[in-house]
Amino acid sequence: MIEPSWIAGLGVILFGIGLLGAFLHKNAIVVLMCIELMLNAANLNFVSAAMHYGDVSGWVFTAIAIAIAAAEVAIGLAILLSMYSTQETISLEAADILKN
Amino acid sequence: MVNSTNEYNLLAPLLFPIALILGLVIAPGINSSDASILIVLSPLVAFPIILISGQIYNGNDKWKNNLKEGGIIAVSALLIPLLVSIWIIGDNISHTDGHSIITWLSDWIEFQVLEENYVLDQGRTLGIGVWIDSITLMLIFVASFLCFLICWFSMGYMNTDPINENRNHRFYAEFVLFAMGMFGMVLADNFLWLFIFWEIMGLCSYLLIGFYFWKESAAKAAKKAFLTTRVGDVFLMIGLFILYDIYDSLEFSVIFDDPSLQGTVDSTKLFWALLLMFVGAVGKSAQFPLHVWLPDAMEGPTPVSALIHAATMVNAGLYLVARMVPFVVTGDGYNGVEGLDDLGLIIAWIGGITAFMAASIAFVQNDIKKVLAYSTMSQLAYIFTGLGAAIWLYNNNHYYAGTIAFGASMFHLFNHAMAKGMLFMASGSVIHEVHHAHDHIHHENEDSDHHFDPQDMRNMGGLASKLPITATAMMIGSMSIIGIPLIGGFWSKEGIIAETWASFFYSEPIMLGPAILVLLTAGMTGFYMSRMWFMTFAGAPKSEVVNHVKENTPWIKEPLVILTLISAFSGILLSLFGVVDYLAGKSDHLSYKEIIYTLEHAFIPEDGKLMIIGWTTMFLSSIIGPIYASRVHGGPLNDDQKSNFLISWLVNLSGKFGKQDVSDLSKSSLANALQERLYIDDFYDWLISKTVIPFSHFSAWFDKNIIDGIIKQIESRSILSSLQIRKITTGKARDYILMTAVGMLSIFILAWGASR
Amino acid sequence: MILTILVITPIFFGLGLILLPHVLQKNMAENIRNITKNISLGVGVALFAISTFFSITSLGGIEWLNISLGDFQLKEEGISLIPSIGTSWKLGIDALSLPMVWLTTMLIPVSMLVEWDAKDSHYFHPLLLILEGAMIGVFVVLDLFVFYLFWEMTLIPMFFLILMWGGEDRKYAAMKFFIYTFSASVVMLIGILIMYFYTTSSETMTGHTFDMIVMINNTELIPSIGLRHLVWLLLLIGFATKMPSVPVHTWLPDAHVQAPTAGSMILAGVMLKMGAYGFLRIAVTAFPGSTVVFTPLLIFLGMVSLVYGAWVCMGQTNLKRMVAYSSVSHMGLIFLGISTMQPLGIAGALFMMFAHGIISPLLFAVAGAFKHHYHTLEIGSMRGIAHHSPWLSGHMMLGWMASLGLPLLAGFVAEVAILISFWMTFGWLVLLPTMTLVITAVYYLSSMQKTIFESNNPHSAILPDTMKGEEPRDISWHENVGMLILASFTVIFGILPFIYWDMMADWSSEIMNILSEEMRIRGIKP
Repeated sequence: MIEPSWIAGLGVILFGIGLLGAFLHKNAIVVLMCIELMLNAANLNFVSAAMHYGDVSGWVFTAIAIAIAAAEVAIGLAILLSMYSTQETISLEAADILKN
Repeated sequence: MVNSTNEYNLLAPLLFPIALILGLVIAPGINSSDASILIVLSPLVAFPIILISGQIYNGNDKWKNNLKEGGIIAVSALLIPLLVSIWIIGDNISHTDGHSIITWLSDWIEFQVLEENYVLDQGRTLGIGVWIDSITLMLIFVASFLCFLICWFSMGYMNTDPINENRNHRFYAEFVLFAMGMFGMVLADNFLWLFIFWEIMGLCSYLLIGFYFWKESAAKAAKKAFLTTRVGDVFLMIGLFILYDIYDSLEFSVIFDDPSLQGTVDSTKLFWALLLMFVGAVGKSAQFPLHVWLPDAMEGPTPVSALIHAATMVNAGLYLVARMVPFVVTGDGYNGVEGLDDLGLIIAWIGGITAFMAASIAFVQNDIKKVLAYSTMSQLAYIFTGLGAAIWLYNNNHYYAGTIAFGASMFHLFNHAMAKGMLFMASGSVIHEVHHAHDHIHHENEDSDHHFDPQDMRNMGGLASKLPITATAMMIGSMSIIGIPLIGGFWSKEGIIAETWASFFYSEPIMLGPAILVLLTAGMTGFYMSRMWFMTFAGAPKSEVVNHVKENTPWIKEPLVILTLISAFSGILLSLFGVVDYLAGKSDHLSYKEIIYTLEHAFIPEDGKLMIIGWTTMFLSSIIGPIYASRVHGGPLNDDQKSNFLISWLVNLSGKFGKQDVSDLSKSSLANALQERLYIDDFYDWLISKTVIPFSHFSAWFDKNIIDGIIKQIESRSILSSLQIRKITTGKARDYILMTAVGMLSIFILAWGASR
Repeated sequence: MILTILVITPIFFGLGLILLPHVLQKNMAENIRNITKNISLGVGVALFAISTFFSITSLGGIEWLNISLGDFQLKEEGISLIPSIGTSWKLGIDALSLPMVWLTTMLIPVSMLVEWDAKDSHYFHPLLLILEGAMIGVFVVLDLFVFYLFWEMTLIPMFFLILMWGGEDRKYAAMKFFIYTFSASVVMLIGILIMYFYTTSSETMTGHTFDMIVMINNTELIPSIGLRHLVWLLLLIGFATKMPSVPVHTWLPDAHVQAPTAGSMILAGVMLKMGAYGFLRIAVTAFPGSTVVFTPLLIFLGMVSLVYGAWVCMGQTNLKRMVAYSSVSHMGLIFLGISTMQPLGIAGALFMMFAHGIISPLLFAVAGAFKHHYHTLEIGSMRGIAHHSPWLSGHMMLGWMASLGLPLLAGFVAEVAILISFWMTFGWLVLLPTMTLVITAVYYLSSMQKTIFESNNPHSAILPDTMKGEEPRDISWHENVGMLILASFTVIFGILPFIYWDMMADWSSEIMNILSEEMRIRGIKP
């Protein structure tokens, strides 16, 4: 039996990698992937907790989260595409129209 | 110019008020006092009627010719007060027991006052009613009679001047509104309503001085008049507040009958109340130092000067002071209110100074109306002196002398109002005809386009033959003002001067000043009034214009003739009936006295000192003054000119005393200072431009830059700081994620720390 | 019901007239827009008729003389709005609010008439109706929560009036007006909430109630005297800003100068009075002790507003700005009247509120007419206007004279009442306010001199440059009718002040009973 804390530790590591990647990388696709990584870290925690407590709701949450993440990625990619078509770059440095 | 003798048929509407009043007189159950409300109501109703129909029918032929642009309505509306006041006088003259009161609105406003013991005093009111006593009767007659006559005069004077065309309705409307104010003030039975009508008169005075509103000088004069009197009025208001505080009421009946008068009143408070009220009177009656507005007020049309600034409104101040006299009179054997001696002295001094100052300034005036204006100021000052002396005498238990001083002052008010109203109308007649003659010539030779002042006496001279009625009227009026024995003002002026001296003889050394001043002024009056008459009517014509002057304007002669008769004979007639005692409240009715007794009383008083004073006065005013004036300005008419028998003797006499050249004197610095009105106006102008104006600009600057500036600083500083804070929003997603992360982390740390 | 109708009808019609055209077909919408101002005026006149009706019956049958504190007439209560916090629809009217309600209903149709030709009038006139409903609401509600709602609701239409129909600098003025008064009323809200949390009620979830009668009838609602003083001061800040009193008055001139004529008229006529009304209704009534203690502050504020306002007036060159500052000056008299602690003075203050509500709209209507017909407000840029605009000059003369306190015009009674009681309480200090009357006369007369007089030409005026060759003319019939109504009320209430004076005097005696009790406790001499 794998200890839930190990899985939680893995989740933390994955989340940290995702977080660092999200604000260190300039490329929007990489950032999107990093966000997915963070989501999955959370999912992992849900799954392990569900296994530990024998409660189904964790799995249900995970399933919903994955579905929503898929939709979110689709929207994110669409935004990136339209950004590329207008600005000809997907570097996040260029995306600062919210400034001030 | 409409020149028809048939204009009197326009007066048909006058039958309506006559019928109305006759009906009221005959009708059972209505007595004169009930009708007294008509005196105020009639002009009040006429005011909007004239004003609004004037706006609507302006330019309409019928309005212009048949109604005289409202003049006929105004005359009709003013006839009602005249008839009612005659009715009231008829009812009351034989039996007034002191006074009577009729109530209209007893509780105009009701309120409560918190007393010292924290209890609310219920049912205080400020109401309005009518107060009738001998002074009221005299003044209401003066006011309604002169209003009527001068309104009549205006129909000739105003409506024939082309500049007034389509504007006269404004004049008549304001005229009747003024009449309403004057009647109301005289009738009011308390000081509050006296003040209210007083202010209404001030407004009308402002409007009428500024009748030629486009003239800068007229507009300025109007403003000056309003503001100067306003300064006085504000003090009067404070005086009334104090009075209310003392008596808990402003009604004459409460104040004059209050038993606390017998010595328990806080005399310091009373002194200040009366003094401040006197300041109001000083403003209204144009006394030093608030006199500066009256000469400028001559910018108004001449009927306005005649009515408001000579005969009625300026008497309001005197009336107010006359209403202050009962504070010190409670009958024989009473020792007076402590401190009110000073009040009498102050009033007498102000009167004396003004009388002397105005008379000396009148010496050098060349504008015929300005001479009369200063003369008005000087004569009013006489009355003030008399009232001051009366207050002093009453307060020092000289009851008999006090009644003479008081009654003579009131009687002088009557004589002066009649004579001065008439003099102004006569001067209006002169100005009007000279102006008209000038226009006449002007049409014939266009090249003589120089500036011509129809009021300047240096353009006149020799008018006695051209304007016989006017000249006669002016002669009688001047005699009444000068105090030529047996005519008009003589009967009252003697009394004032004598009693002012009497109070000096009763061991009051401070009274010597006013006493000497009024005595000197008597002589000066003789000089400047005669000077005016001689300059205008005697001698050779001083300009071409004079030869074309004709006396043919309608509506002008009747008032002059009537007032000439009154000025000439009312003095002696009323004196025969003991009017002085009646006005002073010593006797409650007029009663005939022997003619010998009256004359003896006037010329040979029992007190030897007073007799000397009396004869000195007569000598100065009737002989020295006129003779000196005739030496400077007198002279016979040109040979081809003839004047009527009433004035020819005077014209001829004026040439008999030789000629004196005063050109050196008139160039002296004293004459210059007098021309500049002793620099008092300049001083006020300087004072205002150095204090009030800069301070107001400073206040405006302060408000804009300091108070609003602080608010704006708060605004701009907060905008600045928000601009600084705004820089954090870089717009980059990374930064936002970082901030979110750091924020979350710190919240976790805080929560963790807090849970420990 | 009648009060609810007075409040709801104008708001309903106003919103309806603004929104309806947006949901209708184009043709119908156009038709409705064309008659919008007629409908608005009709509603305004109808409401004026209603309020006049019950004012007149008050002179006759109903026991108006017994109006005292907490004894409201035409009372309506019952409908609970938010039961959980204890706020309900509760209306009533007393001697303090009746004249104000009448004034509001009178001014709205008049200001509509004066600004009859406003551009986009299908928005303008309905906005005035909404404003009317909100203002009447402020005067008649007896629930502090709803009171505050209406209080803020008056800002919105006024904000738009200034913003959309204002002059050159309207954005700045509208913002300043909104932020200034809004932040002040937030301070007031704090005070109201503190009061709220000291009330008790068994019927609500929070255990408190917003019922105004409960709050103001219990003078010891808040046990701690210090806290009472604090709440009193918070309320004062809110109300004094609205009045406005120096030093928080600077929004007023800007708002007035930029506002359209009708906006200025209502702003000066009613909205300023809301401050005084609120102060008397809540601060003075609920905290008589604090009022007595803080009398010196009131004197100071009133005196500074009066004297300083008058001096600032004299330094102005803009007609509307001058009139605005004169409002500041006159509002100072209201504080002075209250500070005298005499029934006469308080009644004078009440009458001042009312009289100034008639006179100042006339002044602003005149100033607006100058702007409208001569395109400038600079005093001294023209001379002798009376030649071309006799009616305008007549109204100007009457309004100016009324405002400087001429007897037999509405302002005089109030002035005299306040000053008499001021003398009784403070003695020679009365010199300051009375001398200010002279200053008032100076600036009014000078401004008149430099606009309608003195052209030095018997037949024509010196026109301002802004006319650009335009033919000068007199005011139009609708302006004239509006001003005539105001002018005649000025005269009527000057000659017959007792129409409203009597009930005001009774009200002030009632409040004086409470105040004098506090004075006795504190040993302050009347």
